[in-house]
Amino acid sequence: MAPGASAAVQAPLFEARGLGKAYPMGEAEVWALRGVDLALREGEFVVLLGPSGSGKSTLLNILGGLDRPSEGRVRYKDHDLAAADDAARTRYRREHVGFVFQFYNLIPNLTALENVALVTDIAERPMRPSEALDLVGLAARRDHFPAQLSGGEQQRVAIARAIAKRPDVLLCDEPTGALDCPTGRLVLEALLRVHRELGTTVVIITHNEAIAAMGTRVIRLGGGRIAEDRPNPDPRPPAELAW
Amino acid sequence: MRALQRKLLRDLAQTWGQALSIALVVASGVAVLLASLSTQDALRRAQEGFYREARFAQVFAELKQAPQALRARLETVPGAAQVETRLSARILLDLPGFPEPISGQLLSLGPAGQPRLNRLHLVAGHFPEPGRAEEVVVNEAFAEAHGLRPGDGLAALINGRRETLRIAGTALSPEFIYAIRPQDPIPDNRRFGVVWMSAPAAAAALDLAGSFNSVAMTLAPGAPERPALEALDRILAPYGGLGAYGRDQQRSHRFVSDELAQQRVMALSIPTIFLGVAAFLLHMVVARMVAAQREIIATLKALGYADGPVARHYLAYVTLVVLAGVGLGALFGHWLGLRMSLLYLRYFRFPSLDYHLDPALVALAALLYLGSAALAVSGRLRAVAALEPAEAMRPPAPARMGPGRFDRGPWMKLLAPAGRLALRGLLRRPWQAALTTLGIGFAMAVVILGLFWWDGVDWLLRSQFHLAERGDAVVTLDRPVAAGDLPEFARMPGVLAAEGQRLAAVRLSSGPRERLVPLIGLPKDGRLRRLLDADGAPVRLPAAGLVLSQAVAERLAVRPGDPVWVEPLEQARPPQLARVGAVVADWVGGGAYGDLGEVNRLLGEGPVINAAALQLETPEPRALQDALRRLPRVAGITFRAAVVRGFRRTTAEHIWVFVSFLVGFASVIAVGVVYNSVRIAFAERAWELASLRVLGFTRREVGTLLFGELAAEVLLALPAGLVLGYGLGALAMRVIRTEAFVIPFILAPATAATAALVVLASALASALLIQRRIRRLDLVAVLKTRE
Repeated sequence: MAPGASAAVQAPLFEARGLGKAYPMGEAEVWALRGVDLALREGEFVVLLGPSGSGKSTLLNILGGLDRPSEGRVRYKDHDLAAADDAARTRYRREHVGFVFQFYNLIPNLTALENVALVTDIAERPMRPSEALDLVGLAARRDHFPAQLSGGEQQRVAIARAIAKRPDVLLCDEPTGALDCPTGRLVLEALLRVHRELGTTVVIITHNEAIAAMGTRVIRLGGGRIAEDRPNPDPRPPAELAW
Repeated sequence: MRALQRKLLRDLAQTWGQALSIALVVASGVAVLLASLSTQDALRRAQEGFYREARFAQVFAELKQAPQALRARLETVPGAAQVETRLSARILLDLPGFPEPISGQLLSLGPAGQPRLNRLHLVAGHFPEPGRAEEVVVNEAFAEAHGLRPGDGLAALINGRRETLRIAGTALSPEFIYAIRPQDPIPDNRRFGVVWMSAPAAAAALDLAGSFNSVAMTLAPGAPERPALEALDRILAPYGGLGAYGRDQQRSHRFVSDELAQQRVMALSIPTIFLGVAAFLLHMVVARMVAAQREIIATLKALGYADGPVARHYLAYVTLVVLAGVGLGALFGHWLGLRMSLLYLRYFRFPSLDYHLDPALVALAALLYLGSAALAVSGRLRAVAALEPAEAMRPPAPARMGPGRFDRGPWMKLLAPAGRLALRGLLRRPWQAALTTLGIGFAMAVVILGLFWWDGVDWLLRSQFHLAERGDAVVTLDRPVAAGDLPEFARMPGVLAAEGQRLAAVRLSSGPRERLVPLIGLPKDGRLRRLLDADGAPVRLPAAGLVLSQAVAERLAVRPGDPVWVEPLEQARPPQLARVGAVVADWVGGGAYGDLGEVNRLLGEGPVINAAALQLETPEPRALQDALRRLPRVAGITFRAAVVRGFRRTTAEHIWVFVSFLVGFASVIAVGVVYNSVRIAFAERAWELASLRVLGFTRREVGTLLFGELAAEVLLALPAGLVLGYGLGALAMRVIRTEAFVIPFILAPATAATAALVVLASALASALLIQRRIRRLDLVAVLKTRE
């Protein structure tokens, strides 16, 4: 870990105050998120739990600079994400955030290696694409197209793509949602390895209670509000998880 | 190479059929644009170069006869730079083995062979040697048509005397780039020849020693033409001046210029259609691509790609397709232009034609097509930019689909299930369907644009040579004879009937406007030559007053009842006042007509004629040809059958090339539009179709669903194409019509049917290409993908 990182541990990486997001639904507005106060620190492995409709995806989208809140403040270090315009949010995503999607979102006509290169092409000090694939244990499958990979392999390519730029934070939206348990474990192993070896802050959102056990912090969302926020002093390795 | 560039290449590879069909549409448009503009440019440069090299005159005048001493006065004409006086006469040529007398134009050469103005470009042989009166130079086109070479003999009837000439050389002349006999609509090099003779020999043959009867003149740079024309007319009036005219009324110059103008129209009209179709297809394909790659776009943005680069990624696809089309089009256009230029060289006799493709033109075409393509897809690119990256995190929403008002109409019950689905498919995306229909309609319009010339030419031939000129031959005399001599013609071998005519060159004027036109006097109740209006209905000659061609009436700005001044040019006679009795919208001619007696009166002469229309037993009787050949006063004979034959042959050669290319281009459009629409419909509904296959539908049934929509679009496109073709054809005809010659806009049912068949065949070919995809539809894989 870089010197001075310990100081940064004190200052939150993400800080949200009174965060809310409303979507128009015909005449009315539906609040997906309301009055959320939250501080995430560097080096945490956060599991955001909640059933569908609890607002967890909305929260992740706002933290990742994909969406803007309707009310409240949210900061990433010294970036004001609520006030950032499109270009600033794009720059923020490019420089700091890695995304892992539930449905992998690989480009179908690019190989595994090329999908990773998609990110290293525009990152400032990325690792080599093959290095990233190595980290998720897919060096041998680098020249395969997504259609030639299993779901778990595709998700690991997506993780390699997310980490290749050495992001400060890795945001994962139901990364195991479309996978069976053994395959899901492999994916979670890959995420944990990245967290440990690169020191990347990881936020996973899931409705899968079992995954909560591997986080250093567990936040539960319900009805657009934070229902529970607790540290987990004894995170379990993915191998011990079952669902 | 960057990953996004790789994706672009793979996108291209995966949609190669669509990309290629669009590139071909672009290529077709670019090819026509480049070929037309380059050909026009080459012709223009050849014309300018030849005019400069040959010192082509700017002002011309014919007269009866004037002494050489008058020449000094001609040099005082305001603006005159160089003056050439010469001898000119209409003669008859006689070649063994060719049945008819051939019309000829005799011109005298300069003292040293080469004239000072309108210099000849010798192709073979040499100028006549001094002292060898029988040696002449003939125009190359005529020599070629009869296989004549220097050294060959040639008989001629000059000034009523039979002369034996020898061809010393063949040459090109700026006055006869387009060598055409007066009154003919198109050139016939077998029946018209130009003969240049040494000045002394010509003077002797025409009995005009020490005189001239033709003037050519160049003007000082910037000198206006009109004062020169007026001065010339004043000086020549006492000598039987026939009216000075500028280049704009010089026959060859006018035809070449008209053709250049037509090339310009072609260069502007047809590529515009392709431009529109290509833009539409690119819009369609990019819209489909953006819709299908919604998640990919959102993902790229979530990964940190800014809106600009993502939108540019799709623009790059368009750019590559268009550039490929421009490249292909440049190659093809170069070839096509070269071919067109060579074809023109057969009619337009230039010493050289330097055809080349200007790279700046290619760049211009590329900019034009890139610009319109970018404009066409800009809406989709804005949608790309506006797409929220959060979209990548959401599962795709199911397609919105609900029954519309029209959908529930009682007519739905009348349709078979496949028809109902097809109709619903059309209604689900009415704009797309309308544009597809319009695109296919344009393909049909382009076929019509290629084919309808035939109908016009057909109508023209029928109305001119079967309804208007019902005689089988027209004999023109070199000077008027008494109308009482007519029976002499009627008694000639093979002649059933003869009608006298009086043809004279006159200047019509009304206020400041004036026009040199042929005035034609016809017998009151003549049967062999009638006046017809544009619908082919006969027009009765008024007892007093003239009938004007619409083109002439328009240029003089006169209407029936208005007075016009008629100034005979052959006789020194003050202008006579006549009334416009009627205006006819005829297709060929551009002249004035009157009752024979009225014309004689206007010309200040007794009852004389100088032409006779003949009705014959057989179309081209040999005995009559021989008899006419021996008649000294005959200036020319025109057999209707020969003119029609020549007309058909020339237009056939000329039009076929364009027709075949236009039909080819139209097929490219039709295939491009149909293939892309079906391909996109297939991609959008592959999942649905595969599901139906899983449920037990046969390939044929699935195909019916897919092609039902296409069939409806194609069927709707046929009437649309007819309307578009009609409109574009009428527009093209309006733009390219000339004073002397208007091809009527006629669209025969057979042409419309042919155009429809071309479109149907193209649609069928595209459908067969897609049919192969249905056969290969991978049921399992399609059901797995979530598109």
